Amino acid sequence: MRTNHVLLLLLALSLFISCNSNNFEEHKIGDNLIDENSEVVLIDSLTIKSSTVIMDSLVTSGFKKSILGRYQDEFLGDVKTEFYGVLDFSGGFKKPTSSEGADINIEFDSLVFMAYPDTLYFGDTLQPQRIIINQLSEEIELPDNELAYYAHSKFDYNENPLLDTEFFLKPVKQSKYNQVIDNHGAEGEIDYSEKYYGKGIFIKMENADAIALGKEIVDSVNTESEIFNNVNQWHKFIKGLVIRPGDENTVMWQAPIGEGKLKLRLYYHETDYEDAGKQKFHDFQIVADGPDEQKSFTNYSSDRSSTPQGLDRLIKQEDELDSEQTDHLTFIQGGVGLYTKINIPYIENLKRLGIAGGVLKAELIMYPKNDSFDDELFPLPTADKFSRLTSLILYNTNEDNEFRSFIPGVNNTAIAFRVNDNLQNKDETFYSVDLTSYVNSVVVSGKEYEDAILIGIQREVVGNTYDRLIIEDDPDSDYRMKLKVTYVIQR
Amino acid sequence: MARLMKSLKSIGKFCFLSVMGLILISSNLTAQNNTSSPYSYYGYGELMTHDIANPTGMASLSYSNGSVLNINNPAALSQLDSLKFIFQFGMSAKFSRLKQGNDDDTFNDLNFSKLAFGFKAAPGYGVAVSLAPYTSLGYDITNIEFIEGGTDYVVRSLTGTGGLNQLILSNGFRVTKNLSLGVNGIYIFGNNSRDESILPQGGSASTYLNTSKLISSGLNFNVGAQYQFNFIDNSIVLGMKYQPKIGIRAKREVEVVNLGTISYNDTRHGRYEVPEIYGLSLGVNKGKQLWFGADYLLERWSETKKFEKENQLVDRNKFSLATIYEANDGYATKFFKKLTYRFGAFYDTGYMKVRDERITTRGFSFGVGMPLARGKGMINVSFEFGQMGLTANNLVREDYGKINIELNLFENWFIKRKYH
Repeated sequence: MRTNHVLLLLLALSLFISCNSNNFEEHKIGDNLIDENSEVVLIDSLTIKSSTVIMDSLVTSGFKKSILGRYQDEFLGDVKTEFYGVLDFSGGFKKPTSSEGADINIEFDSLVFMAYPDTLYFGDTLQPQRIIINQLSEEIELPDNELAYYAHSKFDYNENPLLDTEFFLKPVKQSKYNQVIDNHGAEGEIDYSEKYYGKGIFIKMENADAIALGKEIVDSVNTESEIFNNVNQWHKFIKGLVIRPGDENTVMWQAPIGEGKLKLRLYYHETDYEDAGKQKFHDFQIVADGPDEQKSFTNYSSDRSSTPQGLDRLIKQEDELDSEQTDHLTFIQGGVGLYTKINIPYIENLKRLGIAGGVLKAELIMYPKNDSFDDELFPLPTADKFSRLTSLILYNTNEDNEFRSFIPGVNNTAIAFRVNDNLQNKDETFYSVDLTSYVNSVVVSGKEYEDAILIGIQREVVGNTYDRLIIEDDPDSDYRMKLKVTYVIQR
Repeated sequence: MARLMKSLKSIGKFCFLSVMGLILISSNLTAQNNTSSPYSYYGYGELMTHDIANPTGMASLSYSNGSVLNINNPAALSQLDSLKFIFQFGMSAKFSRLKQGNDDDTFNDLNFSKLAFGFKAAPGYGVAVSLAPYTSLGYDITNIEFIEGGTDYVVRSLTGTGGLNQLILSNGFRVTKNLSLGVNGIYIFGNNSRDESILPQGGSASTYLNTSKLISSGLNFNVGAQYQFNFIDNSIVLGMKYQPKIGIRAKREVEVVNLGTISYNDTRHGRYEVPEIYGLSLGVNKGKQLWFGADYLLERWSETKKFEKENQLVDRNKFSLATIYEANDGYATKFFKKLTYRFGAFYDTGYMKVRDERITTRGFSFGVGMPLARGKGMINVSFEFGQMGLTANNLVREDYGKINIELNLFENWFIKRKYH
């Protein structure tokens, strides 16, 4: 044998052996022989102190939907909204002219409130719902140094309403919007004459003030008044509307703003020439965008005076109601701004287990209170159909209950609670969120004693939702709030 | 001039082989394991055998041969042929099957086993330098574990890599016609790494990783002797070996990384001990072609400590037998008559006790040595079959087969050619 052959043989052998693939397999044999230096434990006994707080200054303007109505909640009391909005100028309302160019006068027929609600609602739709619309007597204007309107913002309105009537809310049916039908058919096609064949809410405003307003608008058109030439004049003239529920209403609902889905419609006819006597209309939509976008907002008021847990004790943001004072319940409520606050004071104690250790997983779990919700009337906060993620997120906070940063997940976006549905046993449906990196950072860097977490609806949307959640936190119950930490203890 | 060319060529070849050897060693240190046995978790790792002309586990303390670098007993180096520079490179491939209860698993490991060179430096004085693994860690165990009280599982992986290596400078002296003495100066170095990783099963990116490293380097030595009684054609050789207990300087680094941040970090300096060793051997040379030998080796591991703590090891006893037959009587022409045949068998009690059972190894081997053309060297191939451990008491038994290939290259140095 030549030396070179031998070298080749050695190389070939080494390649042959190197190519075996057992690196990718899992080998189990011998696991009982090795003393593991570490132990993996599940700890769910960390103390969680929970309470309910109320947040000030929730922004409720700039959203693309209006929150309307009222609900009476077993736990949270009486919740009412007043929706404020201004009517869009949208190019004004020009006096019509004939084909020869002569001005045509028009005559007022009626003023109609139209809305196409969303399919979602909260409460009982079987009762008739009262709706009251008033014209504002003062212009909606931002206070100095403010950029938005809040849940507590309010403006004066005329005493006599434009509309005060009852109707039945049928959110699913009434949500069906078809532009052609909404416009009484396409031009030259079907003549709907005066009838409205759409499915949406269509209520004729027959109050004297509404008729007077309609006539005033028509007169302004006929006289070619400034108000239809100048946006500012228009807003000075009409100022805005407020849509209110009656005190016996039982449902809170929502209607999209813009796209012709929330508006006043003025019916009129021309008095001369070709189209004389033919029904025509002009829509005044609630403003959804542009410079007046922020002027559509919702005012929330909540009467908690007779709530079983005495939630009227929450007045200012600094107020804090320990769950022990509220029958071991905590509360989350959109619009009104209730948040659940938790403090987990002893996370750092994990470090005392073993010589070292580490967090493998930490999950915060909370159960909605039994019978505090049902699928039909009082659903749990909305969750994505597939991922089951909600808009319930967590914020770092302090003694004064201020919002600090949200608690981020892996990709630095806010982590949201997920609903874990239990279809067989709805009482066992629970919410969970992965707090691994939060717990790990507390273990690694520590935390101030008063550092706590606010749980509630994402700050950016809390002003535009009626979602609410009652959370069970009885320390003696299996359904208490739990932080389940999978922890590795190094021996 | 030609002589200069010749020695340049030799140096070139030597460099090439060294580089190739180093490449293999380094690839071995990173990518390959020398073992896959879970028992390599214990002590300093699985003890690697050091053998001459390789059927592993063979008796060797009373063997000497002019073309063989017997590192085990440095006294044998005094018998090296003059004018011969020996370069040795060895590899072994191990195919093993682990068995525990009803489970079994197979592993293939490639193993660099030796890089050495040696020559006779002076009459009655042989020198060799060698590099070989001393212990090896190669366990790789993955287990899925249920977390008590929850619904989740974690995947726990335990891996051991690295091991200790020895760089040995061997010297053998002939003191009298019958007595040779030798000394091995040993530089031990290595990095025994043990990793434990835990991650939740199914997705989560959070992992827990505990890395423990024993980084060491230090010197020790052992001495050997061979005494030969001659009876006409035959002779009896008595071999002996002794190594004192010596502490090796080491640094132990433990690091825990959780979710990408280091949550624990500790470095300690200390010593671990290599044991006192007694070796005794009896060899019989029958004529020039046949040799029988029997070795007994005692390594007193029970008295060793690691970082001032008892090692929890037990004394190792190793019994081995060997016979070597050189078929070539100097006039052979047929291929089979040119070969050297070797047989060996051993029983090794090991140095560990697991669950009150000693983890013993036994095996036998046979091999042949084939001379390269024009006396340029020898290629040794051997096969070993063995068994380590036992399945009783839920322990692991490893059945293995091993192929060893060793290349010996001879360069004739110091020959003054006469020109005609």
